[in-house]
Amino acid sequence: MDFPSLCRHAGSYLSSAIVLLACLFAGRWVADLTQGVLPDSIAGMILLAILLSLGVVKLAWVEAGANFLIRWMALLFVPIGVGLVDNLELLSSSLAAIIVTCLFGTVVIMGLAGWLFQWLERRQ
Amino acid sequence: MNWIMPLFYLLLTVAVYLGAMALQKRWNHPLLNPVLIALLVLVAILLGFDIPYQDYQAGGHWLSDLLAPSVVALGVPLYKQLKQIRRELPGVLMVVTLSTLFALMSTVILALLVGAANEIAVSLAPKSVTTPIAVMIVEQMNGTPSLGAIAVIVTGLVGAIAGIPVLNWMKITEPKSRGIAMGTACHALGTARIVQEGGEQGAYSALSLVISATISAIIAPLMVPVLLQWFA
Repeated sequence: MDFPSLCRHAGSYLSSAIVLLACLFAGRWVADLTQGVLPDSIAGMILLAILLSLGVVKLAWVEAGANFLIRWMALLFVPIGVGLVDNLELLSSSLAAIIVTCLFGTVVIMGLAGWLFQWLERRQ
Repeated sequence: MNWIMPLFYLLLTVAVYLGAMALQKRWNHPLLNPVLIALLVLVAILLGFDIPYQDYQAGGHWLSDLLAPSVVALGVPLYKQLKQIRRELPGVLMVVTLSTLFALMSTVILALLVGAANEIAVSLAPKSVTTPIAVMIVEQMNGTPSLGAIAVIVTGLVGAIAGIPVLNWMKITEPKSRGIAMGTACHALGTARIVQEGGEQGAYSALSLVISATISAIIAPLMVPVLLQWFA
């Protein structure tokens, strides 16, 4: 990669970081207003979509960084999940309830939501 | 020198995750989910070498801190689908609201049916929404916040591992419906998985995550106590 394109590359990640963090901080403010009903990250997500559709933020400013973060998003959950080690007793003491609700219940909820919308789509 | 071990744990996490991804690429089995494998390996390392989670998280938090910006980043696929979403918003709202009510109710009832105490049932109730909201809801209802957080993670893992096979098995093939199913049932972790399938799925999943989190935050503190009284 030559030097100018390397700079452009770095620049597009830098601008992404600025836009994403700005939305997150603005989201924190919205979160305070709604007293936590919308957490900062979700408020920031909605805000980013709105700013993009209003044309205030250009897609080219955020796309590189956003795509990168989304591609690696699953990795970001790993350290939080490792936190289970601190709660092994709590986990094992309510294991039955956790298995039934989180395994069985989740699959049913997922099926219901997907099936309902697919049914709605096909009816039209 | 106190940055060396945190840096080591950070690199270890990334290395284990990349290794798990390579395994999945090689054998392509749903149980070889990179998040699950990385989690099991790291938990084994922490327990085996008697490393406190707090020490590990001194490095791991660099990844956790990126979660909030990555949720913000979901605004990009959301924006790209916005025209289409605007047309279908009433349908999406209806489906996600119904499913969220069902999720809250079924979770509490299932937990009580297997003999869980009220406090545990309450803590599991918001398991399908993103962690900060789930913890807030559990606190409001006097449950155990850390149990709530565990339930959220386990639910997300179930979505990441079993989500796509289950959707295929149930013949839910339409991309938007797949996204809605994942976002409603398995919050951001499910979204992180389904967005790999396509931007349309990702956008609808992100939208559903927003709706289900908002509805849960408003409805759960009203509905769950009533459910508990019914069952008492």
